[in-house]
Amino acid sequence: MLEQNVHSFPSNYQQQKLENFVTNPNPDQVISTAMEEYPEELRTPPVALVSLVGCAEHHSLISSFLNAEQPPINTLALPDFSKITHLLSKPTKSDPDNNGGILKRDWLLKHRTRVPAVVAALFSSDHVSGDPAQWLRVCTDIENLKNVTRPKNIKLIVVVVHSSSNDEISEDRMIALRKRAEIDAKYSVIFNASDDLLLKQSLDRHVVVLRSTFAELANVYYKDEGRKIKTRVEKKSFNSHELNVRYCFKVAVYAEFRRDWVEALRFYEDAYQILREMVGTAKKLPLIQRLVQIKTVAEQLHFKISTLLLHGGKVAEAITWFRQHNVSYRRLVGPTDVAFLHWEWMSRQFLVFAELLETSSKTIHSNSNITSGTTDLALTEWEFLPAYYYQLAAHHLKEKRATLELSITMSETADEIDSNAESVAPSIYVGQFARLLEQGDALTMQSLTDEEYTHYAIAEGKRFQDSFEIIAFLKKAYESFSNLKAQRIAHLCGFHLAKEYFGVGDLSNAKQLLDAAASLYRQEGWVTLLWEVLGYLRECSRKSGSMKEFIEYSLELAALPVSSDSWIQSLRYKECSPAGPASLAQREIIQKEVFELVSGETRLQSVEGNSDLKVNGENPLHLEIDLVSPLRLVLLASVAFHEPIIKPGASTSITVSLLSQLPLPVDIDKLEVQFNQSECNFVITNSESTSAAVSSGQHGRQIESAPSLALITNKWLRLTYDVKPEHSGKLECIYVIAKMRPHFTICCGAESPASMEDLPLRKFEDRAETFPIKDPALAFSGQKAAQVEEPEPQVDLILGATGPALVGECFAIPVTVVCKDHAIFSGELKINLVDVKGGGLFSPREEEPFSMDSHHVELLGVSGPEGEDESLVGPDKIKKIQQSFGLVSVPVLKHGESWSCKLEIKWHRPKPVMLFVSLGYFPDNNESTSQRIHVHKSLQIEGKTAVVFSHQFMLPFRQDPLLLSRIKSVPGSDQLASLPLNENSVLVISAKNSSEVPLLLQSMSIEVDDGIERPCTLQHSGMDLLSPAHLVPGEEFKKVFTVIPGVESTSLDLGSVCLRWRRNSEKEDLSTSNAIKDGVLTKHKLPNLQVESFPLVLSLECPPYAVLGDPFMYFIKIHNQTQLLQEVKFSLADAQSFVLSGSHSDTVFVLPKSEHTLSYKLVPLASGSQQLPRVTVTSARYSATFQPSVTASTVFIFPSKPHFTTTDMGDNKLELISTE
Amino acid sequence: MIVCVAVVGHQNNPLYIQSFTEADDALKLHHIVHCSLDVVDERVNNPKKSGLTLNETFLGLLYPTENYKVYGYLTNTKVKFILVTTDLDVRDADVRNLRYGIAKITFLSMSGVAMVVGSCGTLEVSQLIYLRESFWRSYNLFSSAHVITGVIAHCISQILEFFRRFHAAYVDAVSNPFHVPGKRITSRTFAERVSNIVKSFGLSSAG
Repeated sequence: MLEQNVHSFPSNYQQQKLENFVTNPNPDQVISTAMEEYPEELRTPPVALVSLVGCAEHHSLISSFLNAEQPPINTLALPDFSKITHLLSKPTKSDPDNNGGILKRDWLLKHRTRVPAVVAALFSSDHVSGDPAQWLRVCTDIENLKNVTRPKNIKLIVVVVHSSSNDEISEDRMIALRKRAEIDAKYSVIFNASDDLLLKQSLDRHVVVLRSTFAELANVYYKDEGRKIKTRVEKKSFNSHELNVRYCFKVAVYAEFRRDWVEALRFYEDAYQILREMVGTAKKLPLIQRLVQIKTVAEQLHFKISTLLLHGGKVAEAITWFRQHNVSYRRLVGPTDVAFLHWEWMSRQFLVFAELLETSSKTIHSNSNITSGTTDLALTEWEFLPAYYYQLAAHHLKEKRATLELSITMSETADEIDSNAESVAPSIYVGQFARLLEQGDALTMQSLTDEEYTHYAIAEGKRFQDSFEIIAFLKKAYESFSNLKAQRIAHLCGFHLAKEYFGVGDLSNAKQLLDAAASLYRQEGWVTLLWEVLGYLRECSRKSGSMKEFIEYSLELAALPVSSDSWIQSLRYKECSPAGPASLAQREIIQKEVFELVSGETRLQSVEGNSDLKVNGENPLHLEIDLVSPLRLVLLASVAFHEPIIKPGASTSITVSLLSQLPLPVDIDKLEVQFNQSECNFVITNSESTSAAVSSGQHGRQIESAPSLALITNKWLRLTYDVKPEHSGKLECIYVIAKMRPHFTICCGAESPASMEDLPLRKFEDRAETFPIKDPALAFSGQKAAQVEEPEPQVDLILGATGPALVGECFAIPVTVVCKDHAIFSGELKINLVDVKGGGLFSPREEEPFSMDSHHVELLGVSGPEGEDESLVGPDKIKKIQQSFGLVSVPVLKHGESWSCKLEIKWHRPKPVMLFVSLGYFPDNNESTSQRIHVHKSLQIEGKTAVVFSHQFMLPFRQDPLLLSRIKSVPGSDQLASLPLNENSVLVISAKNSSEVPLLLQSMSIEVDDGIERPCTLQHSGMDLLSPAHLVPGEEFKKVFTVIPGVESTSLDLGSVCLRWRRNSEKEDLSTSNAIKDGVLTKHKLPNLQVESFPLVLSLECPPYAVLGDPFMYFIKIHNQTQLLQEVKFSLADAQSFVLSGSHSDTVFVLPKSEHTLSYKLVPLASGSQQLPRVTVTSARYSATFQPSVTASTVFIFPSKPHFTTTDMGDNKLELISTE
Repeated sequence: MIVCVAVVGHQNNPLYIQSFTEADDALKLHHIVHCSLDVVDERVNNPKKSGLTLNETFLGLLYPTENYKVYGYLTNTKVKFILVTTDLDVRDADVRNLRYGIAKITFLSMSGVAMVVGSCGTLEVSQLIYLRESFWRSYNLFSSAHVITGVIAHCISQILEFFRRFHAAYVDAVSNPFHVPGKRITSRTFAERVSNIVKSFGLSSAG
């Protein structure tokens, strides 16, 4: 699997150049990346090098082509042949003394720039095919070249350049040339460079051939070289580890040249392993330098391995490798005086790896599944993050700085040797240093002793300022972790970052980061960490000269729950927080310091501005503690009223409880309790310190004194006093201000015991809970606010209502205001009408159209008391009437006076209504001092319908028109009453008193709604009412109208019944208004009528009465109203009470517009009301059968002839008086 | 060696934190424990990504710091146990096993690895992992890779065992009727018991 991965190596690896190899993620950062410090040949993968000799004019073309191809090939272009011998024949300088060097510094560079794998000799075809002199020259050049390249095993290519297309070289010449050069045929290439004549393609083809030849030969060269060294490694034909490492390294580099990443990786790893073993065995160098050298080489090897792994996409393996690298070397600190070199080295390892990871994670998104460490000690999430390594790099760099400082102080005595250090330079071996000695013109290297080297290293180390790098690394880590929402580690980085800022004096940045960290630690209750952060914050504010912040942080520190019995005291600090070790003793020290400061005994020495700060009269200090302040630990004020509702003017108890977590007792000089009603504010003074009591001689303030105002750690100071609120409404305690020193006050927001939050950090402490108030009920439910009631009203408000209201009338409700003990000033009467059911006074649910736009119940107006003239109402009097709301001003009333008015309310619909009347007034004339008092009254009033209407239509007696619609009743049309056209019909309207009071009816009439002329005639049967009719509850009043419809219609509008009525109250008091006297007009809409013409009329004629035994005539008349002949069947049923003569049944034809009369003679056989024989008439044309009604065919039979007398009563009323 | 143990409540507040080092880096350990909560959060919130099964209490290695390794354990009441150790040293007996395993295959060209094993009296687990990786990868030496796997598994089981005993001690401590849940554990008995567990860490596995 591994091999496959390696072969699919991203091709861009080869391409990467210096500039894009390391892209700094933050361009604003000016720090150079650590990788840039590596030489380029180490950072970028090896590129094969070929050399071009001769025919210089073609070099640029070929080299640019080779460089652009994939993989690129670098070219070393030499214009003539003498140069190559120069270059290659340079004698290899043998080591002056091989003192344990592992890798030569310039070996990589040499293969990159000086030792080509292939030398291509370019000859122009003229020279090759030219005269013997030229040929000879070619031959010597080749010979020379061979001599140079052969010992180094460098491959040779002969290129013959044709300058024009018709250049021809004989085959013999070419063979001869090949023989001279001792190369295969394929390595002698013809390159056609005749410029414009040939096509570009042809040129390209030649170059491609050349290129592939180069690549092939270069590969062969590097393979041979690699194999050569590999055999040495395998045979172990050396006696030192150094050589072993060097050979492995070389094999790996050659493999890289060949792009054989697997082998490269393997040999790098081998080299790395062997190197690790050398730590204990190699003895050639002094100890320190040996370690330095090994680490430097290991660094390079590690860098190569990591790069290869990362570019192969094997992120997890690279990280595992790095872990291993870290583990292997982190303990190799070396002697203490050069320990800083180790930490610097470590920091660089982390940094370089971070940068590598960052660049590779851009190209390869690490989709590698992060396995958690449950089953194995596998990689964790953070190890995939560059931020993690940045953070550790910063950590190690800090370590370096610390050890360097130590080393500098140790070496200060030996400063005089510093001059020697100047001549120290890197030697030819990687990781070695030597002194350059000038001996005449030549420079010689002299190896150093460890002591010299140490001095050199320290001197070098002094030159660098590490803080800015640490800041840069930490900033990267901080930002990265913040983006990942890993807030805790981010804040840790932020904290370290802040410490660095603090160190370099950038206080504002430091403070910002520290505040963020502190809020996290406060929230999660990490006291020890908070202590440390606060210590720094305190120092920041000290340096920046912010007295208030300094005091605040100090107080918070002092109040932190760091106690003697807890685990925290066991902490010892390596790098102690500026606040000192977290302990109870230290808290006490801090508190003392603060109180000395606030009492003006000491000064705060600030760095900025060089001014001393002091708390005094000019600079008083005022701290505010709100509900979320961390200083609640310092002072917590809990205020509870003992009663939730207070009567005005009565005193109530209030308990002020104070709690402080400061380790030492705190004496309060004066305590000020402030309410929203400022006249309730009071001051508590310490009775022991009399001076305070004297100074607080503010007039009008309530001053209390307490025996002691000392706050003891975590113990409530409970103070109970009485307050006497004067004003109604909410009384809330807002602040408790503690004055501790003459110029130091703490203003603490009051809190209710019921809703008091736990103290931020104390809530995690395991200690007994204490309550601010002894009374447990109050401790759980006490509030800092209480409701003050209004004073008792001394005024009566009387609503007099006389019973239910009737719909339509203007119902008057008398309201009386009677002053008892209070006078009324600026009185206001508010009137509200509310539906009892809670809804509005009109509801869209009820679908009467007229109810939509008006209220069902309406407040019409308020009439003032009797005799009050409207003009007397002054301009300040308010009178505002709306449909359900009214506002009336009440005049000034003195004791014992009364005032009344009437509310006029009209019901449009029967509905119960709640009437609310409230009177607001001032008991005295001075509105500013006195309080408005309210009296409320309410009354439920029913609205009832006064009159219920009903009506009835009747046809003329014993006359039945054949109304077809009645017979063939169509569904839907039978609701409408039908009346015959042009016939008299009778309409009886009755009005029933449905209320509980007697009514007086004034008139009743039928009126057409809109004044439209009625297509029918309406007549009163009798006269109009002369005097009002009394109607007791339940009684009915009837009135008869005659209707003669004039038009045939399916829907005839008859109009409405208008009834004018009023209440019939016994005591016709004069106070009733005109509106009431006029009476109420109630309208009732009559239903529409159907008017139709009829074909037949059946009318019965018989005497109004008969006498037993006396025969009488009974006529049945069938009148044909139509223009048609009507066939009518009739049949007469026998009746028991009568003997009759005439035909029982027959079919008759009635001529148009004529009448057929059936006549019978009847003799009554029984007396009383008797049923006449009933006739049934059937019209053949309409196939309708009809019969007169039973009442119509009933007649009264007197047993004997009666005697009547008629009297003229004068009012056309007939009175029937029986003579018997 | 265990350098620090901590119990962290579900509001991420410390309930108990005790360090066992002679060095003066208790504060640093507090920072380490606090930061490890980020990883705990991450693992608990993305159980799939971290490969954590639902009711698994042992969260595994949270993260390695400079000198320490941090392990986590989550109870089902969301109380977290954090264990900070120095790099775990493999005990001699295990190394002997390892050597034995390797001795069988010494003829192979793995001088480097063998020398590492040979030169160190004790090995760190991370080194072992690396060795195992290289056995698997480059040399296909399965048998010795298995030996190392066994050694690592042994280390993990020690940690698991520790957490189990620690959990039991915690449960006993909070079962105290006078203990208020969510408050810091101040019981001396608990402290003693924890320090016993810490002391016996590693020893119990030998016996």
